[in-house]
Amino acid sequence: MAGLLYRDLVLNKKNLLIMALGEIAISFLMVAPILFDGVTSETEIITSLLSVFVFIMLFLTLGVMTASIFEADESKKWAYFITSTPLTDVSQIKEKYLFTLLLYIALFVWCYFFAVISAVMGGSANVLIAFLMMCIMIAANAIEFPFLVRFGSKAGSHIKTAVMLLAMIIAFEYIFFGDLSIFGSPDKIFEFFEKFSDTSLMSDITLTVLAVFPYFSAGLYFLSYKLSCKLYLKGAEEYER
Amino acid sequence: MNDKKLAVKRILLFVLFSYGLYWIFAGLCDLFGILQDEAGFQFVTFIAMFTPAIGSLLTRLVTKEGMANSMLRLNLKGNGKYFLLAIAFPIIYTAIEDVLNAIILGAKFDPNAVFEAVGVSAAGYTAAIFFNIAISIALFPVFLGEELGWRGYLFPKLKTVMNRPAAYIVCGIIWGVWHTPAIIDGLNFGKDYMGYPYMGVLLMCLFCTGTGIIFAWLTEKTNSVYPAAFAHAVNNNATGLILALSETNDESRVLQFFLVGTAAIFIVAAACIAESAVSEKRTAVSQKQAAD
Repeated sequence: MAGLLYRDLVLNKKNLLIMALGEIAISFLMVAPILFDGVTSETEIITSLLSVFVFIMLFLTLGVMTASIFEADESKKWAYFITSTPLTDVSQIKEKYLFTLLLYIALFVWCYFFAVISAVMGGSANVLIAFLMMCIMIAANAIEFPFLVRFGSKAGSHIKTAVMLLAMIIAFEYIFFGDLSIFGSPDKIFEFFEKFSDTSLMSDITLTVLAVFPYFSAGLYFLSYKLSCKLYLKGAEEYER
Repeated sequence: MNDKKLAVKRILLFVLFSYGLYWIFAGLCDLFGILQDEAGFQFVTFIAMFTPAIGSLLTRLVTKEGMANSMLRLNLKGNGKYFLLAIAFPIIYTAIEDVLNAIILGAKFDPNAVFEAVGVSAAGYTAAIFFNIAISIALFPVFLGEELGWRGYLFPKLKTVMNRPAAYIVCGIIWGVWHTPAIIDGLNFGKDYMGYPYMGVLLMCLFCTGTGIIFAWLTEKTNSVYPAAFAHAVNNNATGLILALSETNDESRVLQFFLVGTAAIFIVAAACIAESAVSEKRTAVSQKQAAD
């Protein structure tokens, strides 16, 4: 397993390096107001709001990259070569899922660290959003990966685009017909996100949904892994199309 | 150099690196005024938690030991129950602590009053506990930084130069004393208590011996440091809400509450030791039967 993890690290080193540099650059947006304007009375509010958007961007960026982890195995020769190794195909899939999960956990720890840095500099950051984003992205990957394994990354990315379009349609529906009162003023937006930084401000239902969601995404990820194991190499003929 | 002498040399080097890196870093941060508020304390603690792992890596490098027996393998197969126990143990001993606080120290134990004060129902409070556990698990790499050093390197080395009970105690003392800069800054006890900071360091050594036994048991059972890292993460991040169920915010009795908490940990640690003894006896009997 360690060897497979190392192989993926080497195969994806360019992507990982570019992504890491990008993630570091995006993270600095969070403390930019402190770097340029110093600590003011509004620093805490501004950095807290910025942290929400920065954390969402960080996880979305990583989410785009995770599909490429599967691309490396997508030549027919390579796909069949894998089955000739002493490791079972289940190990190959397990490694992909583990590698992706480790990337998300590493990013979450980075977010936590940067939240501490922001606090030292006089700002504030909403780590809860980072955690929720991690769970959302894990759940999204849990849905995406079996498609990648069965149909290859091209078809998989088409399916992903379709799902994202559907989500955007739902979002637009909400914008046109839903309750937008929470976006009425900057104060209300801040109030909305403040509830996500302090569990004591949340209602029972919100707390319950929040508590169940991480375990739900973990369960979904595990089920997705089991499904991918069954689907692995069944679509190998379609990889090069 | 024989094996024992080499192990002692490695232990000393590891302690030197782990202590040196943390204490010098904490000293520098104090010098530059970073340690003046809660955020600075968190920053130093975050970095400090990686120093035992760095210490073990440096020791391996200097003594040309290599990365053998680093316990970095997950070994999840067949060990699922120990991973679950790693998450459950801190919850169990904190619940015992609540009960002991009420029985021994007469602390008020009224969960409904706590739920009312926080403004959530029992279900909401339970959900918050589970949510904190989930976040703690996600933060396990930070605690892996400590566990790679204490359980992954120090404890196995101590076992080669002394018997197991002595190794538990020495490991607990080394781990406890390592916390000295944090205790001076008010970790767990604040700064206003009898015998500050020496009493704090002493109690921390006791606490670390207790939790060290549990974490070492988890590590030995799975031959992996991950369960210990999970247990450590849950212990540090997710037990606060359970402890808050009994009223322990009387600062004048902080040492007493901590001592009772440590007693609760030792109850779980005793169960781990008993299980180890029974399973070792079983293994010895089955080996003897196989030999016969």
